[in-house]
Amino acid sequence: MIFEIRLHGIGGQGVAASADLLAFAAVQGGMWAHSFPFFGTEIRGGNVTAFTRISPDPIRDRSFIYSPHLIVIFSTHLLSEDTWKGAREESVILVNTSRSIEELPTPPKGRLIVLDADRIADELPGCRMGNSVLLGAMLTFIPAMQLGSLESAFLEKFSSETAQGNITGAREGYQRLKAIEKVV
Amino acid sequence: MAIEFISGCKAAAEAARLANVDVVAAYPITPQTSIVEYLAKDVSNGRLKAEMVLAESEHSAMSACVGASMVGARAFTATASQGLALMHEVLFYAAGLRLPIVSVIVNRSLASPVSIFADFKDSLAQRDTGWLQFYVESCQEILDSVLIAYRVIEDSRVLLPAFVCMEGFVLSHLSEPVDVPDVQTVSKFLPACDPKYPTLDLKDPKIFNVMAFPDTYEEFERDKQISMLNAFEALQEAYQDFEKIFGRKYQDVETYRVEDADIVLATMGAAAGTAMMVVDQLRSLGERVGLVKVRTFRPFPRRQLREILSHARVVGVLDRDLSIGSTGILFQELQSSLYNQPQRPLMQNFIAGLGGRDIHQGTIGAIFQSLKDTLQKGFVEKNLNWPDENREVLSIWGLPVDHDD
Repeated sequence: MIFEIRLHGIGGQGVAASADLLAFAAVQGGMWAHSFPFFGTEIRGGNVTAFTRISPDPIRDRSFIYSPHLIVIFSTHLLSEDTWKGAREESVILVNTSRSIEELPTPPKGRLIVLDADRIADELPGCRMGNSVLLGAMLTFIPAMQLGSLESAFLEKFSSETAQGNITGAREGYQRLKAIEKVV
Repeated sequence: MAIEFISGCKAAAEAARLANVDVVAAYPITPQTSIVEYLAKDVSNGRLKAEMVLAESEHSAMSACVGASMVGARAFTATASQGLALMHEVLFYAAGLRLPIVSVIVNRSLASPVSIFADFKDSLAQRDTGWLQFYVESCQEILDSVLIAYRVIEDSRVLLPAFVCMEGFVLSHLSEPVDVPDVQTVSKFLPACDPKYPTLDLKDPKIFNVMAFPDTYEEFERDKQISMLNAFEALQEAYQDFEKIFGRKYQDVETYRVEDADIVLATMGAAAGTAMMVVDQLRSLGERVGLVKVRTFRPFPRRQLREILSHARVVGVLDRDLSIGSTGILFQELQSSLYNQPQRPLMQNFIAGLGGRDIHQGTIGAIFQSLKDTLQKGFVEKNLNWPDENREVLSIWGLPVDHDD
């Protein structure tokens, strides 16, 4: 089974980087994965979509992801029919927002989950961005993904100080979602 | 060897480093830029001992590669789209001077209108320049193809330049696991550059780029044609050695479940991977379908394709390109290759994925459905088809939906 994830955000939030890190973490964990972004001209603040596929076997599909298992939306204002498109009944739509579910529009399909990742990141020492918190949170929905794989991905890609900040964020995101979800 | 998680651009840069190129001359252009950025970093930190020439245009970058190759250096460049178009004039010089330069092409559409996204128009527009052309499907294949390209074009039977082409963003910005070999293993497959052609040498002066009069020019062209065709033999040898050393198998034409297939789809590049998944789905429903991936486009593997397609009843060609006023370019080549066959299949052309439009399983499923209809009817109703057309745009612009070649 290929697990498919689609990320929506704006240039500068680390959307493409998150998709890459997630796929890299899966590979660190012994799986096959690929990731790729889609954007217009490379400008800060422009819309960015990024894709990650994770599978036990090599993946040959080179197309975009139209019916993701997991949709992650990095900014409240991006939650719309443009981003929840293709969600199935069992899909999860994770939104980085300070608002509650009641204050947000309701996607016709998929389960909406909110996490104030930017604020959580602000309050954590050394954690500079909400995307690491979101990455930790994403793991709770992806079969056979361990937090340790993501941590080793951070350590592999960043200096130890930067990696540590990201690990702190990822652990927090993971624990928060685990507490809500009690899954895996 | 180590499995690394890297992008298509990084795979191309790693290949150039492993090929131990002497000169990298380039000019930045999306979506190719990061290849040269990686190489610039490798040169500056000593990981690659090469001369880095940051040219003021692609015309100059290719000219620098020509000069470097003429002194016997292994030269590398990478470009895309408008950049490749600007190189056009110099491409003929590189081929005519018989210089084994490799250029990675990160395929991107041409303006106008401006698009930074993938189709094959840029490299296919250079098909008559005398460069070998390879089209790849994965990041691993990018790395491997650059090594294979150098090995083949430096062979004294060939001595022509080569493109290794990957679709912009689809592969250039896609990261996946790639087996990156070590330098020692690569050197077994691709020895250090040892030019087997006359080079610029102050102690042994020669004349290059001579004037050819009508009594010889045609034979110069024929010589290039023969060398280009010789590449098939050199490629087969390279594929065999490559498999022995690295364990990965390549062919000029790769086939997928074609043996008993009535319907075969032919294409190039990344869409082949997506199409294989559709083939599997249709096979599980009992449909006799298969796929052909044309990896080597120059020289065009006419004989191999004739053999592979000898039993097919309907052949579809998915072109991520269009020769405006005619048909898709792969279609032209493939159709003409099969024309003199006593039994030839019905053929249909499908244009899709232009300007980066995503080629997904739905598009490929629609193509197979159309080919199945043709098989049932026994004749081709429409030669030229647009399986992923945006009817809303056509209707706003008042363009006819129903038209053929």
